[in-house]
Amino acid sequence: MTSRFKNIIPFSMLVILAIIPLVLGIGYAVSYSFGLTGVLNNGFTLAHWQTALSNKDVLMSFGYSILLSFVSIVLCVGAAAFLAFYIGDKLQSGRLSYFLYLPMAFPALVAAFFFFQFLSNGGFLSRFFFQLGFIKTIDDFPNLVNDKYSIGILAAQFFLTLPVFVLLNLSIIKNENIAALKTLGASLGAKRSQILFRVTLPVMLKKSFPTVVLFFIFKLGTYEIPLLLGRSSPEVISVITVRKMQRYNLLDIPQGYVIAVLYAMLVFVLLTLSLKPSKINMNV
Amino acid sequence: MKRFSVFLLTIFVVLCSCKSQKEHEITNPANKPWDSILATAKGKTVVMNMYQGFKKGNNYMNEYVIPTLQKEYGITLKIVSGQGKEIVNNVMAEKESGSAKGQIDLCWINGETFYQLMQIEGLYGPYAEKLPNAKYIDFTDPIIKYDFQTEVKGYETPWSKSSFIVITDTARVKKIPVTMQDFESYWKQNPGKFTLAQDFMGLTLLKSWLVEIAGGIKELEGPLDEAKYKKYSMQLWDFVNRNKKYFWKNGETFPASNVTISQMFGTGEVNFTFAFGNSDIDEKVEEGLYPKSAKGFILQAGSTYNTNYIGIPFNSANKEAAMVVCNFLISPEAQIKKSDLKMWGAGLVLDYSKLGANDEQKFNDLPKLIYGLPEVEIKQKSIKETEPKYMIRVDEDFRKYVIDAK
Repeated sequence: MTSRFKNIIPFSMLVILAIIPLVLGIGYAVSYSFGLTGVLNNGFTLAHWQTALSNKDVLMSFGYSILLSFVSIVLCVGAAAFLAFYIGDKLQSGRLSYFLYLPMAFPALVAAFFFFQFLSNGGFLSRFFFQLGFIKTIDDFPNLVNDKYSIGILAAQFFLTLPVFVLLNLSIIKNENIAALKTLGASLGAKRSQILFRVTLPVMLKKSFPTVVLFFIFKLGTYEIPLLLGRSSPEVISVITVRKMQRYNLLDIPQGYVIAVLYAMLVFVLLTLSLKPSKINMNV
Repeated sequence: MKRFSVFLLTIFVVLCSCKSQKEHEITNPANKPWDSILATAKGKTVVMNMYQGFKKGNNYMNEYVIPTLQKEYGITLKIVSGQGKEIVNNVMAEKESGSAKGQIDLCWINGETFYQLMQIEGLYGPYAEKLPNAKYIDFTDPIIKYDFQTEVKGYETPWSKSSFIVITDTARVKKIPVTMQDFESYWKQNPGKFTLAQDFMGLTLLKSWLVEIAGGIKELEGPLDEAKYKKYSMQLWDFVNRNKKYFWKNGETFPASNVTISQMFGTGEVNFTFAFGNSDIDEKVEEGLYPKSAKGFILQAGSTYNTNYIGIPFNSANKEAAMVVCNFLISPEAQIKKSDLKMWGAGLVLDYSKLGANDEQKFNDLPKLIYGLPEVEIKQKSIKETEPKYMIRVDEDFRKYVIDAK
């Protein structure tokens, strides 16, 4: 009886604090998008879905967000693996670890402002090169924020996410006893490249995959950094959703909910495909 | 018999509506004697939604308004951050959920927010003209009577007046452009030094150019005229599109907010920024963000002059206390303090001619602007806001015809 009671409490908390609000929130969004809720809605309609889906900005936004998140994750995972392999022991403690983990304390909005001040034409880096005489005017400094290639967004996201993946990799290296596996591979005659590509990387990627997917989803939904460092068009999903919900035309709000529902569906599909119970082994 | 039944039914409906109208008049807090309102308000907590990104405004509220209300009226005023669409969303959500007692008692609004709140019947009123200190306000002044050409009808308390100013640096811009033609020449000679934000400020600039194209505000007065709007707005988008290659980042992107433009103006990345409120330049120069060579000027179309207001949400649980706060905010004492550059530097919403000799003197003794434009010049060139639907259309079409146009 006590054991059963012990299980009921956390399960109830999960249902009350996480599942019910999520289901109600999505239900409200679906209802709003079909015109069933909302002061200015007049009953069931497919018009908001038709308008949103025929709007190329919405589709571009999904494509752009997925691409941006993918590139951001690839950069972070690659760099984190490199750091963990080669200087992992130095990152466990000491000054280097302090500098590496410091970004984790930064809120996204602060990081966005910091990168804007650092990388913009009137920013610190531009002025530094101007003072050194590398550029004639600050306008000669390349576009690194609000730029075509989203460099500013990628840089800010890299800064914030890298420590998480370094920590994850260090944890996997330790828990999976990678050092012993490497020694075993070497003793069986494998070359360094074979050890890396046949042993180390597959183990690391397999173990970190669920976390990578979760961060991919997390990056899909980021708001402040793309808002401040991104371009007016294309916009990431969160920015276009907020724009539809918070601009001057109240009649655009249902379209914002359509995008929110589409985003929720995308996240659900990603989670279903990637986080099968057998794969959930975070090891963080 | 049937006719008689219809007659009786009509009489019944009329009597019922008379009764409910009478009930409304009695239960409407604004119809109570002021002493009774003051008594009910005492000891209440009023929650106010306002933009808190303005240091001087926050200081004015925290250091002067909140302690004075507590001391003189026994009202606790709590400020909660929120503006524009956040307020509308909050009121809308409460309306949808049928909430009779709302979380917010007061909100700082104007223009499209007022229009949207009225659209969803989200404001309490009419009450403003019944406040004792309303005698200091000229409600026939079109800048006060109409909020973006929507008649206020007592649903908002005017709080201060402000005007749209363009700011430049005379050290960097020798010949200040005023007309659209001037700007076109300037951009060609100085590419990359101009941009506009996708917010209220940028939209006001676009509306000012729309007024210039239309030949003056008179042409755009009243409800949105689709034919006129199409005719003039197409010329506007053509003007922006043919010149945007000379804008900051080749016009391929526009900052989300004017705050970013002001920062870029401070660092020299762009040569123009915008403000609503004439004291903005003095404040930023004093803070060291703008150079001392910064100067405000007015566009050819004129300076869009508007009023910002305080509204009471329809479901405020403390309407009496909210009205007492509104009344205090439009008192000569609070308004003169608010006009003080050291406090806030906001434009006086009271009719100067209705002030007593003592208050008039206090107002005249306030420090004068150093870098901002003289108030007389702004008033001479002031123009009314267009109807809110212009803002909605300009916002949508700026994205459609400029930002998303490849």
